[in-house]
Amino acid sequence: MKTNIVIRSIVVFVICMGMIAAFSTTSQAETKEPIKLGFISPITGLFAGTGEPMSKGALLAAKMINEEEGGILGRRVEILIRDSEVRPAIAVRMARELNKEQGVKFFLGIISSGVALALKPVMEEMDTLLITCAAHSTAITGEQFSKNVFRITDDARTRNYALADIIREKFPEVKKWANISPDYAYGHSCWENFSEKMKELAPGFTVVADRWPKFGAGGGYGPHISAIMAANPDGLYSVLYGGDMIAFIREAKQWGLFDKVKVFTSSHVDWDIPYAVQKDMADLWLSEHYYDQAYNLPLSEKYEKAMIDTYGKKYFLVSQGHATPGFDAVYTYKAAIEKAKSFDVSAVRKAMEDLTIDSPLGKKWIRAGDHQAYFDMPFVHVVLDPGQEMGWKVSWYTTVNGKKYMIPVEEALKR
Amino acid sequence: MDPGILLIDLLNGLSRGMLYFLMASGLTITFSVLRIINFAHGSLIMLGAYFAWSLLQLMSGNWAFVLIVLLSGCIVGVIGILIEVFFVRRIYSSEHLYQLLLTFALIMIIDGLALEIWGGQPRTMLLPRFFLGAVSIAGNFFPKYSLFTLFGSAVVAVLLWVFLYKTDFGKASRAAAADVEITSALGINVPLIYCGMFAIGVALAGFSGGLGLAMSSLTPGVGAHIAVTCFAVIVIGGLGSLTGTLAAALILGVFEAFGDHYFPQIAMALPFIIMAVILLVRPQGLLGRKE
Repeated sequence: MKTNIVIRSIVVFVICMGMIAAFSTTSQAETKEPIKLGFISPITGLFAGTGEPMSKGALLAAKMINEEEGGILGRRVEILIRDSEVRPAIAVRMARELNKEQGVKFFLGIISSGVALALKPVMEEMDTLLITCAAHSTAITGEQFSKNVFRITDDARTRNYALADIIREKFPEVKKWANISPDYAYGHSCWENFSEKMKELAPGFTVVADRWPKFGAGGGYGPHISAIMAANPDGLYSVLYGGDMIAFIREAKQWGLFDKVKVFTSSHVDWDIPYAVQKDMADLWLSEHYYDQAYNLPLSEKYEKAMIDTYGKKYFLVSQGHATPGFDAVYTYKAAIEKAKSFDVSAVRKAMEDLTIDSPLGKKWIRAGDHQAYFDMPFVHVVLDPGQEMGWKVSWYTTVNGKKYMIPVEEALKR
Repeated sequence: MDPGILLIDLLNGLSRGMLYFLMASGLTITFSVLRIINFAHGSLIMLGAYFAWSLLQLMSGNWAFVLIVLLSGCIVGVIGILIEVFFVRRIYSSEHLYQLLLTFALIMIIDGLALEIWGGQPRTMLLPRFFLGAVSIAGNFFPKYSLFTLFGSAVVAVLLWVFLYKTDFGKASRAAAADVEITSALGINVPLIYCGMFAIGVALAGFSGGLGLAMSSLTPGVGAHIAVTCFAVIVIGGLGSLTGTLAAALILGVFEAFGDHYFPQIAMALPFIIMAVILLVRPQGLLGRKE
């Protein structure tokens, strides 16, 4: 009897110790209230190919922070995802809901400049912060600057100035240009900057066709293509994206538009486009958010491995472009909160100004004056190759640091 | 103006218009017979396109593509039967609000399932060689696939007319649409007609998705913006009128094509301007009947 009691006591003791040990080895991050980040982007619809991978990049960053780095100041990171399509009104409603019902103070995501600009007054009113990941209009960190909004990706001016330099160097003879871009802030901002730089670089630069189809049309570009072909341009520029760009490339290919022009270029086409279009792809000089071959840093390799281990290689190849700024935005909050040693919005905002973070693209520096990030941007030439499974391959790539095109804050805030 | 380019613009408009007709015709049929506004119509169009994409991974060849488009319509039609039997049948006598709630729930279910099954990454259909490239018309190029959709939609429109006006089932369904009590008193199986017409309406959605979205990007939820156009077409044409739907679709398609080319500044507002003008002149739509 006595022996039994002793044995039972030992068993109870061992179990208790085991539980204590188990709980004590649990990271401190799990015992505190999680820090909630509100992710707003299209997860469904024509632009799901941009927002959905961005959410996966953010989720991966949260997973790495929670499992390997003990959270942020000991608190687990929780990403609350909301599908805003690309509609400003829905995004505003979701931001308010996340703030009021979930207590979210830090937001990220956003692929559309229209949505980012609509969220600006809401962020100011709620005194919350937003890091935009793929909204590129210069106005966001320019004339409509907000102390509550930061951009972890490039602005339209920087990217398009760099692209114009490349295109001018590769195609000095091309002077007659056509544009077809979405009719809203982002499309106009990109084309204005590209054409502005081209005018400066190439005497005789002329625009023979300037087309502005509806954003989110998702097809039916025939009349625009017919008008462009009638104008007989040598160069074609477009910043249609997502489902719009996929449909445009496929339709224009049938019309034979790409056979008529000497160069087709875009400042913002991510990998979801060529992987979706496959054998219908066009020869395209493009720039995107990330290209795995262009970066060989320890963090790039760690990030790529984690993406592949978590989501699979094919998913990574297709989605790397938009996933990366989502990943970077979460790490930006981490770096800023740790620098501020506080979750207070004003302290985090102050810490984020003039902050440098480690990204798979190398160092990303956020300028204090306009909240714009500067970093090495990738540029790629995709050529057709029937021998490849997808019907295309990358024949050339380079990176250009955005600081090369930086203008003074006072000037940037007027754009 | 170059007459050759004008002809190309007209063909663009007709091709777009016939596609609009194909996409909206199922909605018209469902409303004319069942008095149900199926808000999930766009999601069913998307579903047809996804089925066509999946079948294209298994089959290839020119005729296989035609078969695939037909098959995707049939599969969505079978799903339509299940939706009618298990859900829609229960709300025929309920208020319109219940129809709105049910079909809106279906949008969320179908889009959610599409996200789970096909993922969020965009998918595109790789068409057989026969449908690729362009033909020369009056010295200008016009894509072969646009011609195919134009004629394919026209053939379906004719078949639909034959079905509704020359077959017993079609005649019975029109009778049920006109007066369901007398039709029932004549011994016609009205529930069967309702189920059949709902399935045909939904099958047309699936078929139009396979045919019409072959050149577009497929992502979950893509049907929502197509549904907006479909509703504009059936309102302009007159609710429940198939001929009105055809006329409205062609007007919208042609005006949009010329608007996109020559008046791009107002092209975005054009469908709404057309809708406003027609509804001001004829509140019941082009060929709709006054209630």
